[in-house]
Amino acid sequence: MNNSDQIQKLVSLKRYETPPDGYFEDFLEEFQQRQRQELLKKSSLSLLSERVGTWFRELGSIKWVAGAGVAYVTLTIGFVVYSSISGPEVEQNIAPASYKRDSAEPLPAVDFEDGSNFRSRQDTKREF
Amino acid sequence: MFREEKIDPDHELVRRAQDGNTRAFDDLVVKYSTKLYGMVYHMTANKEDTHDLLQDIFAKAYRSLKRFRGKSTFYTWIYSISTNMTLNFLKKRKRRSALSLDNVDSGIQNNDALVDLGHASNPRHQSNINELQKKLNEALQALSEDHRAVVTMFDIQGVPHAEISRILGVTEGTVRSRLFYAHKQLQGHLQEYVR
Repeated sequence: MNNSDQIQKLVSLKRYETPPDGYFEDFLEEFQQRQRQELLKKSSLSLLSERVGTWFRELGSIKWVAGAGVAYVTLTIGFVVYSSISGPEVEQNIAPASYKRDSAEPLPAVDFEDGSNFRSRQDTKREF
Repeated sequence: MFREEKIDPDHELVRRAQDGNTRAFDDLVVKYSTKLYGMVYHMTANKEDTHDLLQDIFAKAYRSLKRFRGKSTFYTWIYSISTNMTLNFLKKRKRRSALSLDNVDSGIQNNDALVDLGHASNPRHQSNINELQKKLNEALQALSEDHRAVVTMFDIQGVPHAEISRILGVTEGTVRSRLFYAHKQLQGHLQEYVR
């Protein structure tokens, strides 16, 4: 018997490590309970999505054509809906291109409370 | 060259389970839980992890059963699920201490083969069974997950090379090579028990 065989024989002793009696009966019971709970938890939506997924997987190669078709229809509907909601765009607050403020136009006079205005007040003129 | 057509002994049970018969799936759980338990346990070396993982494995198999097309036997299919899930679990668990020896099965001490080998192979130290078991666990856990999977399946569970290659999705040559290097590494750890 060579070393490799001896190692194999040694390691094979691990097969005698087994769980206690009755373990697998309890295991099955727990599994059944978990399955029942999982089934209850599953919403109708997830069941529907699972069925759609399974149906899609079972379609075979045609699923790519069907997928492309669905994507195309979805995009088209999306585009039509978007267009009808937003309507034609109106440009606002845009001055005509010909408008240009005349820089030579004098600034409007500002009246002060005493009846004078910016131009008549002497105190606004300072000499240095 | 003819391709060997393997008749799946579980074909009828699987078909009924696929039709929604939960009792048929329960029968499959009963049939394979012992073998899969061994595989997961020797890979994880932890009873609690093994229990939880095995529940998840059967739950996943149940969910995926509709997609099982019978290209392999059910045994190979569920063993592949089990191996993949265990390897993924071990990758996630690496941060945790890998070895737990509080799960040593006391029943093993009554096994004659183990008692004989424990004494005969090392008469000087008269190593006790627990020590041998501890050494075996340490040696196995020191292997990489891929090597441990092959050792578990071939040496402990007696799964043939060809079946292991199908389960792991590697060539038979790779299986033999992994086994060879795993044995080399194990020799280093178990030298005192090898004559």
